Amino acid sequence: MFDFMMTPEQKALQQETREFVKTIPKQLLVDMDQDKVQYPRQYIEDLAARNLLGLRFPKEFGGRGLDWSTEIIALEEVGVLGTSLGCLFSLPSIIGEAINKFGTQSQKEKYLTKITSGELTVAEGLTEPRGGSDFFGSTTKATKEGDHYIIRGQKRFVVGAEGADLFLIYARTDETVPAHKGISAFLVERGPGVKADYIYGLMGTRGGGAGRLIFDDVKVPAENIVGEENGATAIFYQMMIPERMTSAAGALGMGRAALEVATRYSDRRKAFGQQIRKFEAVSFKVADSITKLDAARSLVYSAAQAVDQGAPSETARRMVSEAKKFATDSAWEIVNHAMQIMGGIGYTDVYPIEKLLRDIRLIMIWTGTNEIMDLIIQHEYYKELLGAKENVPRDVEHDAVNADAVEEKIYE
Amino acid sequence: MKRRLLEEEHRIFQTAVRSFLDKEAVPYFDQWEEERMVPREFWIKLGKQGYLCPQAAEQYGGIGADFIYNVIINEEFARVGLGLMGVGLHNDIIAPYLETYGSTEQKEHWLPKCISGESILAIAMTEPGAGSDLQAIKTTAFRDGDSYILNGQKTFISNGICSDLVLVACKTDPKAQPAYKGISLMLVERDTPGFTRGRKMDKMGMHSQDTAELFFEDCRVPAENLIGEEGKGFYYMMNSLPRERLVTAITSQVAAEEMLRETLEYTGIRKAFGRPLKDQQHIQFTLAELKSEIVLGRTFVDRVIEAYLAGEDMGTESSIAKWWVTEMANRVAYQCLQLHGGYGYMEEYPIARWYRDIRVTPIYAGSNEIMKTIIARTL
Repeated sequence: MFDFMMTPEQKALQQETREFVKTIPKQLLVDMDQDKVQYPRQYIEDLAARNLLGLRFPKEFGGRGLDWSTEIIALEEVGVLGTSLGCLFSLPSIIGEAINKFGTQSQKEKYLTKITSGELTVAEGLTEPRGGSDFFGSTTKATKEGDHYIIRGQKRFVVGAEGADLFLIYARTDETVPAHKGISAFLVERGPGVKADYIYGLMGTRGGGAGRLIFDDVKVPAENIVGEENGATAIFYQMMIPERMTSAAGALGMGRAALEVATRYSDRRKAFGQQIRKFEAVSFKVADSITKLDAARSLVYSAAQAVDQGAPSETARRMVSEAKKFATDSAWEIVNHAMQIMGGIGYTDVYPIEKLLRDIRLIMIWTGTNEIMDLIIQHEYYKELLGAKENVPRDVEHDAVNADAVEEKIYE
Repeated sequence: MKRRLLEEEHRIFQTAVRSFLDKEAVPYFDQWEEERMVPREFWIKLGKQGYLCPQAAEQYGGIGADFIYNVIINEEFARVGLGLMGVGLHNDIIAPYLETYGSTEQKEHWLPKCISGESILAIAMTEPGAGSDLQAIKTTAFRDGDSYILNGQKTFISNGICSDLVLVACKTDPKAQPAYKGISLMLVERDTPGFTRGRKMDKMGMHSQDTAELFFEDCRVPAENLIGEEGKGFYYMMNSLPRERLVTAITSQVAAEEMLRETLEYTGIRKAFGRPLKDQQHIQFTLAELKSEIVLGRTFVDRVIEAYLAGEDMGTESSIAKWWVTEMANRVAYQCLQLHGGYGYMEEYPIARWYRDIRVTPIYAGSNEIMKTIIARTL
C-alpha cells in the first residue's frame, strides 16, 4: 500500500505482516513448489499465533475488527510468497465472511473462533467437475433427513482441500425450483464420507493442498446450514467480495515481488558495456510495470473503500470485480515484463520469476475467471447508468452540432 | 486457403515424418518430459530415417535435400512438443557451420556421425555475463603448438548434456578492436580433458530439452578443430543466425496452430451455461482473433521460407518473423489456456505444457529486443 495513504495503525500492521513474511523459510516455498509439502499446516498456525487470520472479524471471535482497506495491506504483503501461501492466508477471511455475515451466534462461537485461532483449517468447495464459472449448475445434492442432511457430490480444484478440517460447500437442496432458489451452503467437517485427493499436476500454485473433494453420503447436522435453507444465492453474491478482494490484493504482492527482482537485476546487469537499465527497452518495461502496479493498487484500495463505506452492493460488486480483473491482469503483465528483462536466466530456477510466472497464470482463472468479471462489471454498469435518477451529470450527447436531428437518431 | 509452399512430394514426406513420430515419439513424449531428456536411441532412429541433416551432401551420407524438408521436419517435431527442438538445432543451426565453413577433412571426419545420430551437436555462445551482447564473451582460446587451450564458461546450452560435439564461440584474440574480430569457432569433442558439464538446468518449460552449463578449464583442443578462419567466428554467426531465427519462427508458428487446434476441440466439447463454449460470443470472437493472428503469421512465415529457399537475403524478415510470431504464439497460449479454464492449469492438459514451453521463445535465439535492434538498423 502507498505509505502516504496509511494511518499509523495500518503502517504498524504492514510492518507486522512484513516481519511475519520474512520468517517463512525459503525451503518451505521450494518444498511446496516440488509438491514435497502438500499442505503447510504449520504456516496457518503461525499466522494464527500472530493473530493475523480473519483480521476483519469481531474481536470476540478472534479477529481484530479491521476493515477491508486495512486487510488488503496485509494481503499485499503475504502475496509476495506466491499464490499458494497467499490463498491459504485468504481462506479464513473468505470462509469466515460467510459465517460472520450469515452464520448463527453458535456457528460463530463454534467455528469462527476456531478458524481465527488456527484450530480449524478451512477450504471452500464451489467448482465442480462439470462447471466452474457456471455456479448455478451445481449438481452436488443435500437431502434432508430428520435433523441432518445427507450430502453427495464432488467438488474440484479446491485449494486447501488436502489439509482442511472444515469445508464451506454449496449443494442443491431443492430441485423442483430454479437453481438460484434451490441451493444451500453448508459447513461440513472432515469426517466419514469426506474424501480429499491431492491428484492434480498443477502448473504452479503447488503445495497449497489443491485437490478434489468427494462427498459420499456425508451426514451433516441441520444446524450447519449457513443462512437460510435454499438461500445460498445471497451468500454466493456476498462471497464474491472476499474471494475477489483477496485475489486482487494478493496479486499486488506478486507483481511487486517480480518487479523488485527485475528492477534490481537491471541495475546490476551489464550488456553492451552498460547497465541494461540504460536501455529504454528495459527501463520502459519497468516504467510500465510500476504504473500498472500503482493503478491496480489504487483500484483495489477504491474497491476496499467502496465496501467499507457501505456503497450499494451492486457498486461494491462491480468495483471488486474490476479490481480482481485489473490487478490480476496487471500482475501477470508485470511478471512477464520481469522475465523478459531478465532474459534466459529468468526462465531458470536461479531466480524466482519462473515460479511466480507459473503461479500467477492461475489468478486470471480462479475465484471467477476474468471473463466472468467482465460479465458482472458490464451487467452492474448498465443497470447503474441506465437507472440513474439523482445527481445526473451533463448529458454531452446534446452537445453535438446536429444533436436535435431526431430523424437521424434511429435505434431500431 | 491452400498452403502453396508444399508440393505433392513434400506432403508425402510430411505424412511419413508424422506417422514416424506418432509411433516413435508421441507415446513416449510425456516420459521424456519427466526424465528431462530425449534418449539417444531416438536420435539413432532419426538417423536411420534420414531426418538428421538431410541437407548434407551425399558423399557424407546426407541426401542433399533442400531446406523445405528441414522445414517439414521442424514443423512435425514441434507439433509433438517444443522440447524436441534439439533436433532442429542439430540440423539447421549447428551442422550448417560445419557444412559451410568446415574443410573437406573436417566434414569427412564429423558429418557422417551427425547424419547417423551417433554425434549430437550443440552450440555454445551464451555465457553468464553475455547473452544478447555476444561480443562480450570471455571464453578464450590461445594457441599452443598444434592446439588451442580453451578456458571459460558457457550457459543455457541446449543439447548441453547429450551433445558429443560442441561448437564453442571463444576469443582467440581478446584484445581485438572491435571485439568481434577476435571471436573464433572451435569444435570440442565429448570427453576432451578439461571439458566438463555442469548441472542440467531446471527450467520452467522445454523439459525434454536438456539445457546445461559447460566449463572449459585448460581444455586442449587440436588446432584442426578450428572452424573456418581465426577471428571470423562472429561473422559466421551473423551469417547463420537468420536461419536460426527463421526456424524459431517456424516452430513457434506450429505451436500456435497446435494450441488453437487443441482449444477448438476443447471448446467444442465443454459446456457452460447449458451450451458448448464455442457457441458463446466471447469465446467465438476470441477464437476468431486467434485464428486471424495465426493465419497472418503463417502467411508471413511461409513467405520468408520461400525467400530463403530462393536464396534471397531475409536477415530483416527473419527477425520480423521471429519477434512477431513468438509474441503472437504467447498471446495464443495465454488465451487458449484461459479458454480451458481451471483445466488448462492442470498438467494433464497439453495446453499447460505449451504455455510453459512457449514463454522462452521471445528470449532465446536472440531476444525479441535484439530482433528489434536488427530491424531498426535497416530503417
